[in-house]
Amino acid sequence: MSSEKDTLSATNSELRAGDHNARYLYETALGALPTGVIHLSADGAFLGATSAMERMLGHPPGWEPPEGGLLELVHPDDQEVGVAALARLAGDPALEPWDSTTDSVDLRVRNVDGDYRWLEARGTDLRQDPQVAGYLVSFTDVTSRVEATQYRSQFFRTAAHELRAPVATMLGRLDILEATLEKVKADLPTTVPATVEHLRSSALRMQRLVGDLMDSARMDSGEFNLVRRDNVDLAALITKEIADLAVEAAERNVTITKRVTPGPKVTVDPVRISQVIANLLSNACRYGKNGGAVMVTADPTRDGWCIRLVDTGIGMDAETVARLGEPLFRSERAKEHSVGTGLGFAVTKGIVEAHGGTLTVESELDRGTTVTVLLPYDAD
Amino acid sequence: MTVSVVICDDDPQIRDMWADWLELLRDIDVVGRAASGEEAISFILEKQPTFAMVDRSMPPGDGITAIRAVRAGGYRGPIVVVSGEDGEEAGETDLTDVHYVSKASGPSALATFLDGMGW
Repeated sequence: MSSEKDTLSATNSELRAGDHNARYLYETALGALPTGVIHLSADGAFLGATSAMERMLGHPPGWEPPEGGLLELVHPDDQEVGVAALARLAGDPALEPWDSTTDSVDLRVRNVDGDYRWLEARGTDLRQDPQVAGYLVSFTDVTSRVEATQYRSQFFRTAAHELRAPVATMLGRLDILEATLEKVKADLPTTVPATVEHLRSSALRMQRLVGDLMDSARMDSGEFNLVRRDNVDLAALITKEIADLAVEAAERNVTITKRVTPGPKVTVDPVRISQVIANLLSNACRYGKNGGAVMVTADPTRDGWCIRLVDTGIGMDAETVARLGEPLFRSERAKEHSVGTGLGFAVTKGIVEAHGGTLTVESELDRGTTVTVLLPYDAD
Repeated sequence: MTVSVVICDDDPQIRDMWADWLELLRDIDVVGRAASGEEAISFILEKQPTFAMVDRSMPPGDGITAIRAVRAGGYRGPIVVVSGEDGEEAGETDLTDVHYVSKASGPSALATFLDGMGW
């Protein structure tokens, strides 16, 4: 009996030593990561922070947040975002549930020197776990990323602003040139009107690029807004955009067909939704194969209009599909196939989302791509 | 009826393009070309054109201040505000008979306005 007791005692002691070793290893590993973690109780009180968190904010070991709580460290302009994220994490039924695998928020947090750093916060609700009985919130310093995005956004905005006047001047001068040539067209070699048309086509392309630069900059900085709300006949809008793209489709030998189920009008910014359809159609043609086809369908559903573009083009691999929407991203295959900037799709997706809609892409290499836009009947 | 216009823009290339475009393609009489907000106020009030075109941004001043001044000075004609960016038309609810065209649209948005006016 005694020997059994001794054995148990020795085993418990080994286990405790094992626990201690495991804990030491765990804390060391956590401390070595560039990500800091804060442990909050179920009612949101601060319980502890990893050494990486303390280091990130420049505090010594054993640091505790100010008496007013962690929120005091958050920049006043970001406190609302932080509070809303915590409410979502806590399961506020009035808010969209927090998905700990994908959701994050960027906040400016004050370090020991009084400087603000951009931290990406991710939270996990572990209130049901007796070991944690609260929340774990991880923070990663993303200041470089945020500043790079801000720089890119400012550069795009400045470039777009400065390019608008010369592009408008070119388009106006081309109108004048065309009207002047019209009076003497019988005496002109055919290369002259053709050259003017090519110049106009290039100027319009530059105009679209300038628009994409500006839209992308606005989306980066959260300043993208819809300007108008009109009741729009989606069938008429799709028909017009297909007609406008007829020349490009014919040049690429791509056939476009459509099927639109009768349904209610939709309240949207008509210029922006035209831009969405035009961009998606243009992509389907540009990345189409010679002799390929694009099928456009639109069907009213319970949640809004479901617009689908199915093409038989070059398609994309899963990695490319996952990166679609990143400003300036273009796959090597796309670069080989067609010119572009990698801005159009990001802007298109942003416009759909600004209408409260969703845009999803399914694709298979060498088989084609299906883009599905779900557009609510009334954009919020 | 002869339609006349005062064009106000600090960029000489775009100011001259608008002027040539309106004269040659729409037979509109360009009676003034202003390069600043101050010139815009002076020319519009002096010439009393059928309509005026005013660039929203004319450093060091801005077109909206000039428009408020010409309205206070008694000018009642339509005013086309040329904005550098789409969606810049927010916030001027006190101004009447102002029409916004985006510089990015080139002459097409101006043409739509003129067609609507029957000019």
